[in-house]
Amino acid sequence: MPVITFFLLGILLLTLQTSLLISLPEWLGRPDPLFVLIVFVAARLELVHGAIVLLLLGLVMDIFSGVFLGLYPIVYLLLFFGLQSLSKRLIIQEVAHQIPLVLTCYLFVNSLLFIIATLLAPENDLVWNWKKILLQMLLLAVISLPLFSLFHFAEQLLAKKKPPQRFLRRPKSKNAFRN
Amino acid sequence: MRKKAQKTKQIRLYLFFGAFLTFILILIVSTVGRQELNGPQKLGLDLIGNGQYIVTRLTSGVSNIWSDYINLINVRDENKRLRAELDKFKTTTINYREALATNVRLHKLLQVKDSLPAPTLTAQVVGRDPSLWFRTIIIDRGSSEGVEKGMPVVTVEGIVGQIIDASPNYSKVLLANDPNSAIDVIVQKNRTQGILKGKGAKGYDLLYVLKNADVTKGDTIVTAGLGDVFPKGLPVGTVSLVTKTRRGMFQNIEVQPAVDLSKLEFLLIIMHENPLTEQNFDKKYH
Repeated sequence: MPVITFFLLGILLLTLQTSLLISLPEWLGRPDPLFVLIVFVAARLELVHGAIVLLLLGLVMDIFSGVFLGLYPIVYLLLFFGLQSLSKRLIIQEVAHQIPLVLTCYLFVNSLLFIIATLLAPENDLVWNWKKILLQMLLLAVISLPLFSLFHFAEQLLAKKKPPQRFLRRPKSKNAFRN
Repeated sequence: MRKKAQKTKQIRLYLFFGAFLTFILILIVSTVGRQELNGPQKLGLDLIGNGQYIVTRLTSGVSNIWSDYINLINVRDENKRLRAELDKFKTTTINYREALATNVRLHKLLQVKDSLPAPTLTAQVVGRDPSLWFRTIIIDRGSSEGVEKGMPVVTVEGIVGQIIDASPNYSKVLLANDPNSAIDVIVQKNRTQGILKGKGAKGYDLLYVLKNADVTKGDTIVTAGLGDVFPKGLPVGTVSLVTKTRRGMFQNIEVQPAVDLSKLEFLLIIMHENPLTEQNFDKKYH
């Protein structure tokens, strides 16, 4: 169920992103809600579910973006396994870490895309544009928290649990002596 | 003794009132027939006038507030009605403008279509590449209408790119400014050949033009017609910068695209002549 739901949500966001959001003026940047979903899936879903969703979304992204097939599935799966291994060492699921997590992942994914695309066609002159990347990161920072909350809400609904009233609040300490 | 004093007091009172009445009577009699106010009348007028002024202002103020309130209710209804009408007319105007603009664009496309050698197919852009690294678009024509990989896509102003993939109903177009795009072109004035490479938002680079070739800013670049992809002579852009470095055989030439590739709407696909194309084209557009 989470696989289908998050995949369909991804398709919806991709459709919005390639048609509606693309009409925004270029100087304003184009928000990338799909990327937030990808980071959410990579950080929150369990191993098999997360890997399947990201693989499917990567395959779909290949259709709508770029010229090298297989580029996005590889990059997304690398991101997924990277985050999975990180989540065992760091508490990346904390609310306070969401924005830095999304931004770091964005840099990581774009670096990988840049490197692989350059390796696949070395004769092409890809230009790393910091201005655009920073603008995108700024937009991602703005949309990350609300979208993470929304996806979390969807995740809770899928798990048939009542979502907490304020899921942005820090989890309560288990220290029994703390008031 | 007390009775006498009381009587005297009464007489004084009568005398006072008598004198007062006489004064009033004289005042009245003296004013009859006159047209000017005397001093006390003027004083009275001033005092009462002030009172009248205050009361009138207050009354008119209250009256105005009340009438404003009543009017406001009517105005609110009228305002609502007028706003609804205005919205309706605005929408109509926008629709008319949009229809007019679409008409102009399609008319221009039709003119280009007539001037192109092969059969063409009009398409609309439905999606754009969301990534920072690639420049592709999705159009609403596919293989069911004879669209095939490699077919060139143009607009009124010039070349746009070429089809790189097609599903039955939609196709993916690699824009000419994508770094993966390379097109054979010539400088219109002296037929100097070169390869046009995409450079993203910065337009194109014209590569492999020898240093001794005469290329200057403002020169028009058109398709060379080599490789059987783009027909010969389609506008590509104009030279915006020419630099010659000491080393190397070639010039560095930047080209400004003839088409604003960030604002594409309607496009023309130049169809290769094949049985499917002709069949579909005849069926659909003739």
